[in-house]
Amino acid sequence: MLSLYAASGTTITYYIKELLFQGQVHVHSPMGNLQNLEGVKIGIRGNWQLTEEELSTMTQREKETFQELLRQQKHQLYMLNVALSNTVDFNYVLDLDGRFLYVNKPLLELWGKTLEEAVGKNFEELGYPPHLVQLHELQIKQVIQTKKPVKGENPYANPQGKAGYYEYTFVPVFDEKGNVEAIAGSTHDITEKKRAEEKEKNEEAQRIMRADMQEQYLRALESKDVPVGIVILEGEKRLITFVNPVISKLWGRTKEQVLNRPLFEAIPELDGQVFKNLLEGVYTTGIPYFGTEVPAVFIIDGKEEIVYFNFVYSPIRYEKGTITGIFVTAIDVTAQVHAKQQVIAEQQRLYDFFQHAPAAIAVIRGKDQVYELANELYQKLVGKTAEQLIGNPGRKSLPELIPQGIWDIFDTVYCTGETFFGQEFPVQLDRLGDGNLDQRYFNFVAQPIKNDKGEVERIFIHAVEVTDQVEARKRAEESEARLEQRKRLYEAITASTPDLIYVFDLHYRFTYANEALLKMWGRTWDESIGKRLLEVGYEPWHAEMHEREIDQIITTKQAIRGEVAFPHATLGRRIYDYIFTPVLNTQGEVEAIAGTTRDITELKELSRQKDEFLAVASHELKTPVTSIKAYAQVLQRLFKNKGDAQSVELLAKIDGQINKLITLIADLLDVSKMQAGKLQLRLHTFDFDELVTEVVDDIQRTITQHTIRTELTQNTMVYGDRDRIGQVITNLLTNAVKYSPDADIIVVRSSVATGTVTLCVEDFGLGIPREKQAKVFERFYRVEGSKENIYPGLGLGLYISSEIIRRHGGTIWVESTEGQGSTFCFTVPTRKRTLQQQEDSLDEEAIKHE
Amino acid sequence: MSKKILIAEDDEGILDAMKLMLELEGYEVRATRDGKTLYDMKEELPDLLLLDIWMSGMNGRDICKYLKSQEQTKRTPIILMSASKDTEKTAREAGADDFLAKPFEIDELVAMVAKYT
Repeated sequence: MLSLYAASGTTITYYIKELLFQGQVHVHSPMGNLQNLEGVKIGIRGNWQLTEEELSTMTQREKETFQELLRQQKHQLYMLNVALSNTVDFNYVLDLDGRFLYVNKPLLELWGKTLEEAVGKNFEELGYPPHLVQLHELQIKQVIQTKKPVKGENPYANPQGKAGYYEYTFVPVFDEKGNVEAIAGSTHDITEKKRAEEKEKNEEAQRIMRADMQEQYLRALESKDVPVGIVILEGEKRLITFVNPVISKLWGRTKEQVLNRPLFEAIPELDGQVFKNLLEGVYTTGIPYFGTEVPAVFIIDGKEEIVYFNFVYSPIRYEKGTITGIFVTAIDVTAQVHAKQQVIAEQQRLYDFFQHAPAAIAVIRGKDQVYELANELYQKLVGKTAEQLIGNPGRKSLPELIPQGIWDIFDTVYCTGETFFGQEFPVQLDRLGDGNLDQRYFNFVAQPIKNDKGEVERIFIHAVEVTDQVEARKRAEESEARLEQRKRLYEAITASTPDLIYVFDLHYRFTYANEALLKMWGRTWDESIGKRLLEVGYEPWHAEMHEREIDQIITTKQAIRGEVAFPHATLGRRIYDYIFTPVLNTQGEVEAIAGTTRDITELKELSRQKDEFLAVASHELKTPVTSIKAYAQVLQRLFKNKGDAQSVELLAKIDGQINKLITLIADLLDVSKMQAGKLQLRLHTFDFDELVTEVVDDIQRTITQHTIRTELTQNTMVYGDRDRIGQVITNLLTNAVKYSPDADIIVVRSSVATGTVTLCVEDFGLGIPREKQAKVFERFYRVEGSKENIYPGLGLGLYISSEIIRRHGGTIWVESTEGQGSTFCFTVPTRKRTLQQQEDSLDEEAIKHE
Repeated sequence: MSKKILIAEDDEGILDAMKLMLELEGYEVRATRDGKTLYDMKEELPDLLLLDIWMSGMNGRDICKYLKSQEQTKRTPIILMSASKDTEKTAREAGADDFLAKPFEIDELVAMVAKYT
């Protein structure tokens, strides 16, 4: 059976029709008309041969007919083949298994195969690539199933590499019953057309794509996410045709405010800045400009704002290369610039710090130790200027250090790479530049600075002058040594003295006690130090008394002196005279109490013996004086009775001298009584003025040169010892007479104030120098007269007077101008009670002292 | 008839001088240097006793007290004498009619004696 498929074209149709006419072949027309043609069944197997079986069943005529038919058919087929092959299209027939039944010549040529080589082979066997094999198998199945043609387009390359693009149609070929019995195929080379199409399509796509991309770019650049500012400036007017939000924000102007306006009109403040010239340059030369950290000043809301930019001005060229505009990209680097400025400022600060560091810092470089750095303090420290140091080798800058071996130290640091630490290192420096070296001390570090290879390149010197400290320390050490020496001295003194020396802290504890004191206590140092009085064996009243005294000293800061008895460990009860003195700290506060105590038992005894002796002596003296006086007076009377006036006069003189002697004896006796605290006052109320008048009259009787003038109060009653106060007035008057040898008047005044009476005796004599005025009331004080004026007396009168007045609770004083005279005054209380109180308190005092 | 004055004083010089003084004034003066004899003084009482406070171990004040306590002698005026003015108070406490401090002026003595005789 032969099935043909006429792909297209009339020629094919014609031949097919011829075949159909003969009713021997089923033909599937290109138009899809199915025609069932009658005819003999001819099994055509490629070589168009009938089988033996077929031939045997045929009659002769049939055989002949067939032969003829066959010849005709062969011829027709040949012509058909020629016809089908004389086209540029590929024509072919496939069986239902996809094997080629027919292949026209162009296709065979494309394949490079003969018809015989191709018939009976499928696509795979003919070398089609797998995807085409698979595709065509599917398409064949589709044709069989749907009984409809299938169209397709494929690129194909033959084994020789000739490639093309093909469109093809698989058409079903039906048998008599209408079943698909074969597939006819026609393939047309559409490579050229495809290429043209493709080209056109590509161009269009590219055009679209370009436009699209531009749009997208610009849109993207308008996005707020773009960190880069973009501006397109067109034409010589720098018309702003594009501006993205980054820029408009930086400009402080909206897009609408600037778009399609000339740059320098939209942002006038830029006019005077560098940008105009830069843009001009780019526009004319076409050479892009890269600006780095260029400041731009904008006026935003009336305020100047400086923004730093990194930017590029790129020329925009038209196709022919003409520059039509400038594409500006800019990044705001203000923050970086500020950061950088900060870093610079930081570095400056570091440098400043280095320069003004409280320590001297220097860096020396290389073997020659050339000064690279030397801060102010270092310069000051070594006494050189920056010019003398920087860039110069150390040995040249500071030659004075060479003999001191300082540079050798740095050499060592340089060679060994080991840091040198100088502690209180002595260096002699010529700071004033006068050649005189000054001893200074430094703490310094010489630290090697190594390079990548580990070689020492520089030495970092860090020095602090400690001269003051070293000298202070040395002084302190010296003073400590001196202090130590002094301490030993004091210890030697305090240890050897028989006096008791000790120190209390503010809590009444002994912090020091000398040998003598420890001996007195019969205690060791350890048993005594840190202990209170009670703890070292003082009786409670005694400890209490001293503690109160310490309290008083802390408050008043005044020393206290007293006498007290204490049982000595070996000598028994002894009398001690003690002085507590405040030890003040630098703030003037009491920090301790120092005490010295002297054993005055012997002294007391001696004093007592002396006073006793005085008392006895003066008493014993009185007895013969009394009899002498009595004899003299008897004698005087006898002579008087005899009328011997001369003897009477002489005896009166003897009596006067005896009276002086009596006064001296009385004074001695008084003093001894006062010393013993036994001066007794015979107190009663008396008329003070009467007493004064009486004494004045008595004195006046014995003197001739002076007149005693009185200015007295009247009827002033005083409670006191009339005789003793009279004794005082007498003393003052006799002194006045005695010390005003050239005067002729003495004034006595009395006055009364509330509760007191005051008496003053004024003379116009020698007067008393100021510095001696306080001393005249001391015991045994005597006025030193000139050589021709030696004033006799024991120096007891004013002492006794002051004691008497003191005992009365009064005061005595002197006002005097040397060469003009003196006024001695005393005041005593007039009232009994006041005096009594005074007596009481004196009694208490007396008790304490005994 | 001259008044009789007894002086009890252990110092011979004073005693002698006083005796001279008072005899010059016309008194009949007796003297003793021993205070103990005064305790036995019963008959021949003086018109005035001048008594030294200190007489060789004897206290004139005790003698004065004793005499002033005795019926026979208590009316006899006694002047206590002392070299110390301080004893005047105790002298008077002992019952003495007056006190004479030694040394004294003759006028003073005469006036005082005259006062009690």
